[in-house]
Amino acid sequence: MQLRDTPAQQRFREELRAWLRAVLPTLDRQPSQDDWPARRSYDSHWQALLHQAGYAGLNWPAEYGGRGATPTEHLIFLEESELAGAPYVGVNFVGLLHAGPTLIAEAGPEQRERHIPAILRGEEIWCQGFSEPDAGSDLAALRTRAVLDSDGEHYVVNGRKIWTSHAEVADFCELLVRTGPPDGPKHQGITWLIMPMDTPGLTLRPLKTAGGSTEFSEMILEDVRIPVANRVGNEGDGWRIAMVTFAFERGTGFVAEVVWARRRLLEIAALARENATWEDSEIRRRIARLAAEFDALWALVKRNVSEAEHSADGIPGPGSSVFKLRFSEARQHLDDLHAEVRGRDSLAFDDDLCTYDGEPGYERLRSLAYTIAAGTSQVQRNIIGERILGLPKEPKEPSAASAAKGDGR
Amino acid sequence: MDFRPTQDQLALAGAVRDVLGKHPAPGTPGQDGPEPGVGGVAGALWRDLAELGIFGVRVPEADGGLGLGHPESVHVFEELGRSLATGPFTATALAATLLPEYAAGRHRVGLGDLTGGAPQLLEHLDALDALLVIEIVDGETPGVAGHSQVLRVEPIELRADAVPHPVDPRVPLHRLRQKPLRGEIVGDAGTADALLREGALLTAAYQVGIAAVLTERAVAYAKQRTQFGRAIGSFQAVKHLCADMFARAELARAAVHSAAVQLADEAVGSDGADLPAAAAAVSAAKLLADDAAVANARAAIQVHGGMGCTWEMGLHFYLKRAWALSLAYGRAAEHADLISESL
Repeated sequence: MQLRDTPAQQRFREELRAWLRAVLPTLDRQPSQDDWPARRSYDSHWQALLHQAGYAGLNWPAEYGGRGATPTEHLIFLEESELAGAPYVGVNFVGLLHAGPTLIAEAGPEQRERHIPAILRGEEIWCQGFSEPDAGSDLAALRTRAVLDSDGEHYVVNGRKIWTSHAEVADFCELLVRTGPPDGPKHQGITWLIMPMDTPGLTLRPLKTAGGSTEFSEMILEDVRIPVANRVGNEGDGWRIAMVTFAFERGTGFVAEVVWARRRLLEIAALARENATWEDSEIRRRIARLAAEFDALWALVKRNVSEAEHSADGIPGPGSSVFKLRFSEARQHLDDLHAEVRGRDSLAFDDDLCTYDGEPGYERLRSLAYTIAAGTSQVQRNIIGERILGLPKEPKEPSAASAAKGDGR
Repeated sequence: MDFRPTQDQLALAGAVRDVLGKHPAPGTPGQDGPEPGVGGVAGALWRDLAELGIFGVRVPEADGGLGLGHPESVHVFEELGRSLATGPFTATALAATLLPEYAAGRHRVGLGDLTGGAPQLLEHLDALDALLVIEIVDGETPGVAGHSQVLRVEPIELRADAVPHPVDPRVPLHRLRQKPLRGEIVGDAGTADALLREGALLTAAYQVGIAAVLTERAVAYAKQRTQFGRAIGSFQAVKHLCADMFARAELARAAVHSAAVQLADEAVGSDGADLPAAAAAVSAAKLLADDAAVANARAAIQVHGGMGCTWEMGLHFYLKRAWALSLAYGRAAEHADLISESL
């Protein structure tokens, strides 16, 4: 049980630091959050730089152009990038964290060759078409329907998808559709398709968040024709394929944010000393408690990573649900505490920040989604209760009709 | 980096658990338990644990200890917490790091932190062979007065009254009437800080043991108890209580292990290790572990429903111990203040 770098890890860390020191000053100022074309070009440029330097697809197998790095090296990369203030993965999030790993695990050779190098170079942007207005936490209830056309070579897709990040600039969408009967077993009959975003019949509607961000869209699909050749895996096997990506998302999605949160807490402490809210022992101790929480979360990440490094598949285990649950709540406490230390200044957005990233009022509103996205806190507690602790599942719901009758009496 | 416990650490924990399994404490499942001996210490359990070497985990082998480090110590103390073993385990293990004659566990050593002034409640006084007292030095000697020091005191020298009704009936208490008049100085302010720091770490590990074992008990009960025609653990309202218990114990354990590793790195002077950071990590571990033990004890009682509040179910023993330990080796506010100084 130790936390020290091995000589190889130390070397990896030092090379990365040196590269970040050299390359970060060459970057332009980050574009405004609402300027999507500029964001795409900024994030793609960063991804291309990572690719040239051999840091793209860090944890992807070398045979697919990745670096084949260990989970610990991946953690070092996330930690050092965040400490150095490097750009986030941005619009490449879905391609690098969801679609790419899924294609590596499940796609055919042609699909891999077509997409994986382009994702790694930052030339191909992906978005995710999973959630629907009536299928959120209960994702398997999704109803977007794909019917095989009479030509036998296309699926004709109709339905609505929601919470699609970066849809405006995406080239492709990882789309979950129902190919089985609508009233069949809900986890079966789901299929994973690659949808080109320029396919006719696709309409985007921006979905503005409480923080004013236009990161999300709703996608309306009307008779969208997707080639059968774009199917990944077998028809009806989409649920299992989608679950592979979720393990990745929960395992690594928020890791870098712990580093950010610890740094933000130091800024809050400095501000509190400056404006004398530090004299309030309750504020001071709440800051200290959050520091304890984030340090423990960071330790938990290291334990999860150590376990992944020594597991057969390198996929984070269910322990990542504990991390997701506690981090998302701590993150909201952090933003609330920041607002309390700022006092009435927290009522105004900071005009000097051209982007939303880091603006405390915006972050406070953005963090509302933390306990919801990537599995709500309630879903995480079910996962912990059922998959880790072995508690029984809720019995199957009675049908809506009989439940309504029961209510009536 | 490999933050997983080593095979040796797991084996040590397993050996301690085996011994503890032979001496079930009152309140553990199915046990009224043996009456503890003089001063609330079960003599046979103490001897068997001493034989395993748990009091000299961090004492060099040349001095009769196991020659191991903080990561091993916290594994031992988490097991003690799981079994709710009572006795001056922490203080005796701390004393052994200072005075190797205590490594074998032939003596029982208590600890009184009088830096906040007397009177003070002391645990297990009738069972003690020696008492370490941490106090502030009186007088005017420059560099010493106003700082803390560590005294070794003969229990017989103390003027103390037995507390007739301690909240935790398994841990007898005495109220100290005044500071000890005589004692042998065995450590300076640095030693005192190190003792309190390590005591906080071991106590945190014990609290993690309480938090973890209560999660297991609550889960087992939630699977077996039925109401409304099904196991209560299938209701999300109960399931989520259990999930939160698990999360608290896991997070607190990660904090305890991280603090143990940082303190061990600091002790051997590893690159990048520094004492203020390690001390803050210990305080973080104590805060989280105290919270986890107390909150999980309450949650375990809640999951057990009405029976959870009864004497015979025994969950109250865990809650009472968790309360007492959260006041030992630094209260929450003190640890929070220590952390805030590092920010």
